Amino acid sequence: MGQHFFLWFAVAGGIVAAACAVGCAAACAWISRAATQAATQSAPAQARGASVGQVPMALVQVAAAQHAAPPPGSPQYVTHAPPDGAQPRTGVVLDGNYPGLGRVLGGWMQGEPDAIERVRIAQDLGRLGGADSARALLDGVRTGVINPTVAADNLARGGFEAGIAVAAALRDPEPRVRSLATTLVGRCTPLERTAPLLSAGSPFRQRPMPEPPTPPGPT
Amino acid sequence: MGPGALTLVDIIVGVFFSVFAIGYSTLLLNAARAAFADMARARRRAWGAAELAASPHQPSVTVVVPAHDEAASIVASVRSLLAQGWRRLEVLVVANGCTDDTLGQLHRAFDLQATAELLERPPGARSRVITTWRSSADPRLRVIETSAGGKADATNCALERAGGEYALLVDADSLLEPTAVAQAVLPFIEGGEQVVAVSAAIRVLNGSHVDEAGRVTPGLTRSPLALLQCLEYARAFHIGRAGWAALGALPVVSGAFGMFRTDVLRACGGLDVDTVGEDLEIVLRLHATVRRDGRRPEIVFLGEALCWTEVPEDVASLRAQRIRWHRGLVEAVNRHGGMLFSPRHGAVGMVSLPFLGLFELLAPLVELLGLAALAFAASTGAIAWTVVAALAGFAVCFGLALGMAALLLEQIRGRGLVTRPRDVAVLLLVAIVEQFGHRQRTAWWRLRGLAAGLRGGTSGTTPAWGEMHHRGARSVTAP
Repeated sequence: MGQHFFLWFAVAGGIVAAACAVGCAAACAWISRAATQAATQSAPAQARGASVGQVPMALVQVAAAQHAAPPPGSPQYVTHAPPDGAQPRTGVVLDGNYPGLGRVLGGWMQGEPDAIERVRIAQDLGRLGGADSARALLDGVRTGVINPTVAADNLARGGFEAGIAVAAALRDPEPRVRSLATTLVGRCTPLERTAPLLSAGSPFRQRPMPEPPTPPGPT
Repeated sequence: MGPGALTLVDIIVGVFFSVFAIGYSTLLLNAARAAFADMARARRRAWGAAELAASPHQPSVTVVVPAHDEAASIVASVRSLLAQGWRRLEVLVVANGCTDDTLGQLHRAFDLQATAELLERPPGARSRVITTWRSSADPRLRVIETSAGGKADATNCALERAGGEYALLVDADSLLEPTAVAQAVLPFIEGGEQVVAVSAAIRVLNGSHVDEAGRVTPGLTRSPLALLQCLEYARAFHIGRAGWAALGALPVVSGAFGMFRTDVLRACGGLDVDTVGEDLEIVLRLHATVRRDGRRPEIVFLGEALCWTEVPEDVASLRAQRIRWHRGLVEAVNRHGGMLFSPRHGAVGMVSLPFLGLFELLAPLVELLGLAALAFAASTGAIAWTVVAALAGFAVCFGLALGMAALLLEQIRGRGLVTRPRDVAVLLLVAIVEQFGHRQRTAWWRLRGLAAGLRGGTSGTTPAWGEMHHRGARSVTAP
């Protein structure tokens, strides 16, 4: 009885496993064939088949970004205030007519569980470029919901008001925010020399790193 | 052995392999789920590795390359590191007790100049710094010459001098994809402070074409031993590591490619110099240290193959490697036994470490014991030969299914092992052949590693470097 059970279990399991193996092998062969065909086609065709075969990763990323991002030159205008609880998914928003939009987006960013969405909101805040947006980005660094690198990239796109908010953050009690502000301000002033002192112990330390060699110019 | 005892052995072996099969099936399903989730995530991303690589605010990265007698591959490896599209980068090569031309090769290729740096090391270090060098051709490259002390000690020596916020630990025979650093940093940027380490899939370099700049064009090796390891690597990374990571219980970051937050690595005290399994040990210690502070560490696994490594093509090197790996597993489990079934250590303590400690560790013993018990039972008539044949057939088909599923997952992630449909047939054949002889041989080597680990324990002697006959990256080129 026991032997019969083992026999049937092994035979049935073996057939299922063998079928899975053959299916996976066939799928592998199909994908590699598709990749070979895609390699002989144009670059856009390669990008479309980017998840398979030998397509370079950079091309895959470019294709993915193009797919995800809105087409350039066609910003999505917000014509009414978003309802409470609604999440901004994509697109460029303008805050000229909507004072306080930076604060709203900042609140969403604080409550957003998905890291990719938080980065998207940070990008929108960077595009807004106002004082509220800058404060929202600095708050994101303070609470740790966004990385200082993401915040710095987007703060640097801001205007004069954002610059004032960054300057005020030089006296922030949170070392991460202070070091971020110092780094941003220090990039173009003599404060750069004091930045390592101010950022000591902070996770966002802009230590001087050696520069890569520059290729020789034409003689 | 009486019939009763035989039945008991059969039950133990049966239960063991059932749990093993269920465990690996669970890992496979989770790995597949993670692969598709990652693809969806990549499509949604509007700010990724390319933007990070171009950002003036990118964090600094120190690449740590411990090297011991790596003359054949060190130059190609360092070139691939310096070719990374990352501005804030420094490469620290630690030539640890080199007796071959490793330093000479570096001198000739990168024009090294001696620098005046402090040579002191903290108490407890196993080696002393002899000289430090900086490349005048590319100032991002620094070389530290030390006396012999082992791989972990060499890594610690570099960590003492690392200036980057993130430390990328790579083997001296590893070649990196041009975007590897940017892709490895991205999870730290997106994931926040709980991300403490990033691991990535590793591909077998043998058989691929490597050009002068260190760029790799994938190809399938003709060496039977390397082909077997191609499948093993695909299974280990695309089912094992990816599955554990999806469960939030990744217990190991490969020594060939692993990025850590430098401050966390330093807070853990660096790598353990008393074990040969330092890559597994440091991750378990990292889990323990971070959780002691009340935080929940996250270790991210990237399914994209960011690193290429040369695998041994001779039996002696492979045997030594497998014995060393299993001995390292014994030492790590022995050292962190307190984490076993500890809810305080989360999924690592409750799931992955028990699986490693109870099943992976004892797998070679039970596998060989099971084979012997089955053969004995069949020869005495206790089990019919048809049942033995059916069980063997099931084991072969299950191994085959895991191997092919791993290949498919790798292919879905991109830059897979299979570049032509013909390769599938070759690897299918290899997956079948692997079950007859190679599996059992590997189980025997792992059993020897188990014995060495139990015998030697953590004796505190300086672990030797893994010896391997390198052919050198450029000579790995397919003919």
